Amino acid sequence: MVSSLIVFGLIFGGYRLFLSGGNFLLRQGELGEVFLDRLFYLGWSIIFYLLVLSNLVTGFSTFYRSPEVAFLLTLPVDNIQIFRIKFIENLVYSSWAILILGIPLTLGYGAIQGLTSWQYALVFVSGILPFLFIATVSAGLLLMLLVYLSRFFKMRTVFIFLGVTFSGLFYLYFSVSQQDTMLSGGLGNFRALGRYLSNMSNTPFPLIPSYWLSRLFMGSEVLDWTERLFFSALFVTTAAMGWEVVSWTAGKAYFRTYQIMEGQGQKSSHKAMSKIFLFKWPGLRTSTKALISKDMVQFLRTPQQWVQFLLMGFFIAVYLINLSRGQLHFEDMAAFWRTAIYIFNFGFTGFILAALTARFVYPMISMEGRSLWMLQMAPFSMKRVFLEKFWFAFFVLFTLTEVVALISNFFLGQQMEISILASGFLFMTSLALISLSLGLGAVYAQFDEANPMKISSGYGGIITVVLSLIYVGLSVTALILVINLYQGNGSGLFIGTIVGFVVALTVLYTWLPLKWGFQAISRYES
Amino acid sequence: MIKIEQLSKQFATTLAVNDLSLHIEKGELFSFLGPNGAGKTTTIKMMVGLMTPSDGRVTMGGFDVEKEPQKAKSIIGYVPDAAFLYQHLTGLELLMMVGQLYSMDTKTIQQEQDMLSERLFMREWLGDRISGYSQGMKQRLAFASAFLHLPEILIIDEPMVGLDPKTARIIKDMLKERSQSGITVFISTHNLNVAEELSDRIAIINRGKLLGLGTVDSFQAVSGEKENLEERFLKIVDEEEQSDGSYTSH
Repeated sequence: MVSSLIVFGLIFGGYRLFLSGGNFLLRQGELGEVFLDRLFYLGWSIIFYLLVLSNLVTGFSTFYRSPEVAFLLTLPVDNIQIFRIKFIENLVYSSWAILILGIPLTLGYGAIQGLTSWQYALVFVSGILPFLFIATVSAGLLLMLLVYLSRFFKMRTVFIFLGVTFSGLFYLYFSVSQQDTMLSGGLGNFRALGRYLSNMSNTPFPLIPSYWLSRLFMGSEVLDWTERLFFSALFVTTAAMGWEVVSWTAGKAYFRTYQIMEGQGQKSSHKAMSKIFLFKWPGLRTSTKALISKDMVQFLRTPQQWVQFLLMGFFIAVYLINLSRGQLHFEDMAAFWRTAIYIFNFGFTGFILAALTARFVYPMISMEGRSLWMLQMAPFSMKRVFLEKFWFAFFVLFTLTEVVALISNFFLGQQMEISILASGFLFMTSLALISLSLGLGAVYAQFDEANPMKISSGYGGIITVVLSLIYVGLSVTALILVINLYQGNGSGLFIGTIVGFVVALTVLYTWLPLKWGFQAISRYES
Repeated sequence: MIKIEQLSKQFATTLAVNDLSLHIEKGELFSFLGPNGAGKTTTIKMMVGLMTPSDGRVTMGGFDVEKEPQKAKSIIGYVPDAAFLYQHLTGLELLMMVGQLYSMDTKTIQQEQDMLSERLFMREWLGDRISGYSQGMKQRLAFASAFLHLPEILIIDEPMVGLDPKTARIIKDMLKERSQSGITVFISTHNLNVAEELSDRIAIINRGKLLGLGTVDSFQAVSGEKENLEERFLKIVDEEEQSDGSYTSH
């Protein structure tokens, strides 16, 4: 009951947020309208890539590493049936979390477009559901191919190939579609604005489902019913064909690739001893050093972890390169747009941090798995384990986001005072979000689940993401108010009050989750 | 060395351990016998601090496990019934990590590692990742990690599970040697031959209750007949199961 209320609250709150944001953009005139359409299309394009990626990562364990599959394969059941059951499981695992964020986005955008209830129903049944299905089909096919290829290459090489391919596709997408025009082109220049708007009207990849979905959402004045029916039919038939293709392929390749994966488990790596364990960490206790070394080695040997981390790094690099290309134009911009871009940049950095903490910090405790007893048996309190993870995550993620913020502020030519202020906000954001993810990760720990992606997309993971986004939203709002007051010579008392509110919020976000998490892990009985 | 006083553990409506008291001397090799589900593992988990008792207390080498857990844990070596070890590490790395967790210096860890890998025939595969190990290999590694930091008390849950006869023999010899050198060894088992062969004293537990305590010889003497430990054990457990059964559910 409580869970349903929370989920309902999240969806309703998200819907109101997207609706208000959309209406704000519409009030900015033609540019805002086009920008809104583009954001929606972009949002679902990113969701599609993320869905394929998350399906790949969860599929790896769902199809090949689950003990249940090993048991099912011994039964007199057709392998295609087993594959289909696991396919549906994978679809649900990798999609439900994204749906909680996707539904409010869809409802909000639909409301702005003035969709009627039957159009909503059509969009959900013949748009969003096939959309999710197509992503799972694509990932299923890709996964079987990758596992087959792992006969000839090391799994690590296969994952690197996968990471590079995805990064390349993403970069290609940005290069062809020139999504960065907004940031790199001077908006003070009308010719550039015209070019940007004209670019907006051309969709670079009409063959990807995100485009079909964004078309389905168009209001009645843009899209007539035959066109709407066409895109619905396109979705349904593509999903149906995908189901046939993936089932046919599974009939030929699933059991074979399963055997290949089984063989992989028997291969020895002959790594002996990683140098990380012998590294002399200055100023650290031997036991803390052991915990850090273990976490680092485990991370480096789990491709599902570092491939995603590298991908995120790549996205950040693309963003920074785009900013550097726009460097010369920012000075010519109107003060409003410059501050807007600056605040967007702060929000973006906060968003990156929220994504990184939810994806990598949240599963840290669960990833100890059923080996947790080894740490519980060690002659120190679990508090040390907890704090080691906190500081380790803080050191890595705060450094990363601070570097991103400093470089982007430099490219944006922001005032030193405001850059320092933003750095302070980012410090608090790092503290709050890392504590939140680590604490709730311990409260909702899943020690029986080995897949970090599945752990992150669980119920606790969603709550963490939403609470993180709320924090980032409040921080951004506070920063907007402080900058406005600062630039308009506003009262120091107001500025102090706002900063005090953020500090209080940070203390709450830091202290409570850490306390709950520590209590949960201390009480846990192996 | 080990003192268990009126220990109980309640899970919802089931009383898994019921008012258990035991006192085990330094250097003693003590076996805890009982059928499946008797409460052996629950008792052991409370002894090593992995579970909190509902009632009673456990003292290890004078340290109360609940009040001074770190001091108690520093003198305990523990091998669980199912050894879940960090799959992505190699055996060598796991032993290094365990040594470091107990604040041992690298040189001592490597010396102990060498000795144990030689003794337990692990040298050939200790550099491989644990994910590729068989159950028996994992069990040997778990023993090595329990022995590594030279504990004063060894607590082992079902020591012979997954071991081949040769390794089982080596483990039995190592346990005896440690007991003779003053280390207290507490093993839980349902394998009566192991208990009979190794133990100074035996306790029999069923449905959370202590049913008997004494040396192997004293168990045989009670019956006054020439019966082995297995026959005596089965008789005690059967008698208890046919009694009032007031041990559980409230």
